[in-house]
Amino acid sequence: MIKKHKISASQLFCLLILSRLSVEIVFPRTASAAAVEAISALVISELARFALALPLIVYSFNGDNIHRAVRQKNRFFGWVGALFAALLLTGASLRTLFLTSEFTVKNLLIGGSMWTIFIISVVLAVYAAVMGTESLARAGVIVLMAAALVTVAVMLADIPYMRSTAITGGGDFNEFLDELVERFMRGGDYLIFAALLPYVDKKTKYSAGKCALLFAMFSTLLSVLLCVVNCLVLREMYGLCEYPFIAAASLSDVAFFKRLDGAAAAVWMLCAVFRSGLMLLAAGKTISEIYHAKNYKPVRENGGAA
Amino acid sequence: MENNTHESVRTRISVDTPLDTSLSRNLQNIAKLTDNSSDVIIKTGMVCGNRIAVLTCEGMTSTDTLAELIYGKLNSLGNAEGMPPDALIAHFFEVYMIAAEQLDIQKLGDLVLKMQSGFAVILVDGCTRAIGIGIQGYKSRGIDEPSAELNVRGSREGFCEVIRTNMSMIRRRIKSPTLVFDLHTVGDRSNTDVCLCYISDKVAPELLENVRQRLESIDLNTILESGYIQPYFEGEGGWFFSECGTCERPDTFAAKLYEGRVGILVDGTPFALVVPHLFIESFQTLDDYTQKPFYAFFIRLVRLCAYFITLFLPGAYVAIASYNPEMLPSALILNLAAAEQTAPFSLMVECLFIHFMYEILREAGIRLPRPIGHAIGVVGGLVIGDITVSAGLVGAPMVLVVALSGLCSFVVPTMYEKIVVLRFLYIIAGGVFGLYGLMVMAGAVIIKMCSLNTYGVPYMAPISPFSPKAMRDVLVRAGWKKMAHGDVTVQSLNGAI
Repeated sequence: MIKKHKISASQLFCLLILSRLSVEIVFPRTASAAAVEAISALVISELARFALALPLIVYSFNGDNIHRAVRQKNRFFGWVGALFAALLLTGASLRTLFLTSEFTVKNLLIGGSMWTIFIISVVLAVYAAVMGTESLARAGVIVLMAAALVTVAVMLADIPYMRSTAITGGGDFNEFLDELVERFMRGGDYLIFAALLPYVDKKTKYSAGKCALLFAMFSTLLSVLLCVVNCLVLREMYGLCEYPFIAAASLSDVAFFKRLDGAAAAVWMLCAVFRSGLMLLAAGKTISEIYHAKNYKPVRENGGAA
Repeated sequence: MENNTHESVRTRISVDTPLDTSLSRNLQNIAKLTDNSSDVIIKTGMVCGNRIAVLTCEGMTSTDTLAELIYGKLNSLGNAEGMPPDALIAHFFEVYMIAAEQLDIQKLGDLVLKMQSGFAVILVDGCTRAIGIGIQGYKSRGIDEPSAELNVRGSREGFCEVIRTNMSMIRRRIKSPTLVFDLHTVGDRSNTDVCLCYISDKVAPELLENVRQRLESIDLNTILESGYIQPYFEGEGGWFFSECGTCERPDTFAAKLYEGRVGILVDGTPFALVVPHLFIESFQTLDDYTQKPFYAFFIRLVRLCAYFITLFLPGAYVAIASYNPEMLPSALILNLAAAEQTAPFSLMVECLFIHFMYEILREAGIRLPRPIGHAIGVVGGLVIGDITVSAGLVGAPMVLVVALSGLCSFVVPTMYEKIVVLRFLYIIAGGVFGLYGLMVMAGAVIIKMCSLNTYGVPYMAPISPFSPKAMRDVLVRAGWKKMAHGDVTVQSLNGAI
C-alpha cells in the first residue's frame, strides 16, 4: 500500500536536535565532573550511541521501515524488538516529563506543586502526540527556532563572563564514569528516528540516511558547544551546578531583562515536553507499524519506497 | 397547506407549479405565492390582439429602462395586427435585443424569483412561457473606500453590496480568459447569489472541487452576509483559527486569485471570502507591494512585533512580575513594587479587569452613534486611565501594559478576535502558573495551528513547513524584478497535498 509521506528529512532533523538539546538543558546533572571530564564523557557517550545506532543509520539510506524489515527476517524478533522499543520510548517519555516537572519547580515555579505540573505536562505531551506527526513536526520546528534564539541570546550575553582558563580537568576517573553513564542514559533519539523513518518524504536519494548522519554530527557539536560555553561561564562552579545552562543564563543581561534564566528555562521546558510527546508518538507509530503489517510485503519488492 | 417542494420555505402554492395558459390564472397564482405583496406591480394591456401583463417588483427595476425599452417596444407593436400568443413571445424573445439577460421562464417559482431579482417579466395570455428581461435598477451604495482594509498607496475602491459590480471590479483587474466566475444561488428563502472566482490555470482542481462541494452543502434559509456561510468553508480549527479569510479590496482579491486560491463573492455584503487562508497573510497588506522592499521589510517586522506584544505582553508581565521578578532590572522592580503597593488585587486580577473594561469601551465605541462617539475617548481615558490609578485600584504600569497591548492589536486587525481571547487565556495561564503556564498554553496553540490543513495547504506555511522560495514574500518582500520570476501558488508550498 502506498503511504503518504508526511514530514521532510529537514523536519525530522530539527525534531531530533530539539530532543537532544532539550535533554542537555533540562535534565539535571547528578555527576560532579569538572569541565574536561564532562566534555570527554559527552563526546564518548555520543560516539557510543552512534555506534549502537549505526546499523539503523546504514539501513536508513535505502530502507524505509526497520521494524518491518526485522519482522520480515524473524517475526518473533520483529515483534519483540518493536515492543521493546515502544516500552523504552514510553519509559523515556515519562522520565523526561518527570524530570521536566522537577526542572520547572526548581527554576520557573519555585515552590509549586510538582505533581500538578507533571499532570499538565503529560496532558500537553499526549495532546502533541495525538495531533500527529505533521503537526508535531511543524510545531517542533517553530519551538526549536524560538529556543535557538533565546539560547544564542544567552550565549552572546554571557561572552563577558567567559574565561578560557576555565577548561580544566578535575582528574577524578569515578566522576568521569558517573558523567559518562549519566550522559549515555540520555538517549532515545535514534529510537524516535527509527519510528518516524517510514513517514519521511524521500524527495532526494538517501535523504533519511543523510538526516541521521547530520543529526549525529550536529547533536555532538551542539552539545559540546553548550558544555563548553557552560564551562567557560561557570568555571569551577560548573561541577556544582544542577542545571548549568540555566545558571549561565542567570548571568545574562540583555535589553529589558537583567537575567534570561526564566525565559531560557521556559522555552527549553516546552522543548522537553515536545520531546516527550514525540517519544509517545514514536511509541505509538512503532506498535502500529508492526500491528498493521498483516499483508506484509518485503520492502525490496516495493523498491524500497512507500 | 398545499404542496410544498421545499420544507424550509412554506408557501401557499408550490414554486414548481408550471405556468398556465390562462393569464388570469397565472396572475392569481402569483398573488397566492407572494401573498398579495404590495411591491408586486402588474401592468396589463393588449398587444397584437393578446392580453399581456408586465410584472415588476417595486424599486428593483430601472423605471427609465422599463418605460423606454419594454413599454416602448410593446407600444410599437400596437394592437392592430393579431398574432398567436406563442408567436408573440417568440417574436419578443428572438427578434428584440432589449437587455443582456433575456430568460425563458416556465415555472411559477422562477418567475417570482426573477421578478424579485429586478427582472421585468412579460406574460401573454394563452402561452405557458414568460420572458424575463434583466433591467435591474435598485438603489445601492456606490463604490467606496473599504472600511476595514485601508492603504496609503493604491486603489481606493472597495467591494460593495452588489455582486455583479464586484465581479466587474475584479474583471477590470484581471482581463484574462482564465478568470472564471461561477455563479450559484444559495439560501432557500433569500436566494442569495454567491459567486466562485478562480483563475483556471492557477487553481488546483481538488481545491476547486472541495469548495464547490462545501458550497452545495450549505443548507441555510437566509444568507445576509458572507459570515453566515464562512463556517462551511472552515476546517475543524474554524472555531478559533480560520482557514477562510475575508477580503474587502478587489486588488487584494485579484492578487490572491493569482496565487491559486478560490474567492467567494456574496451578494449583499462587501466582504468576500478567500480560501485557503494562511496565518502569514494577516501580516501582509497591499502597501507592502507598492513601497520599497526595505520599508516593506521594516513594516512587516513592526507588525510581527506588534502581534507578539499584543498577545504575550500582558501575560508575560503578570507571569514575570508575579513569579520571576528577578528577571527585571532592579530599578524597574522597585518602581513596579511602589506602583502596585496600594493595589488591593493581584496582578492577574488587575490585568483581567483592565482588559475587560477596555473591551467594553471598544465595543461601546463601535456601537455608539457618531455624534457622541468621541465621548468614549474622554470617558475611557479619564475613568479607566486616571481615576482607577488615582484610586489605587490598579497600578500605573498595568494601565501602560494594557494600553500598549490594545494599541498593538490594531496593527493586525484581521486577527483581533483571536488575539482578544488568546490574550485572556495567556493572562490566566501566566497568573496561575507563571512562565510555565504561558509556555504550555503557547505550545498547545502552536500545535493546534500547525495541525490545520483543511484545503491540503498547511495553515502555517510557508513558515512551517518551510518553503524557501515562498519566503521571498513573508518577512522580507523581494523586489518586483525577482518576484516576477516564478509564481508561487498555494499548491506549490511545501507540505501542500
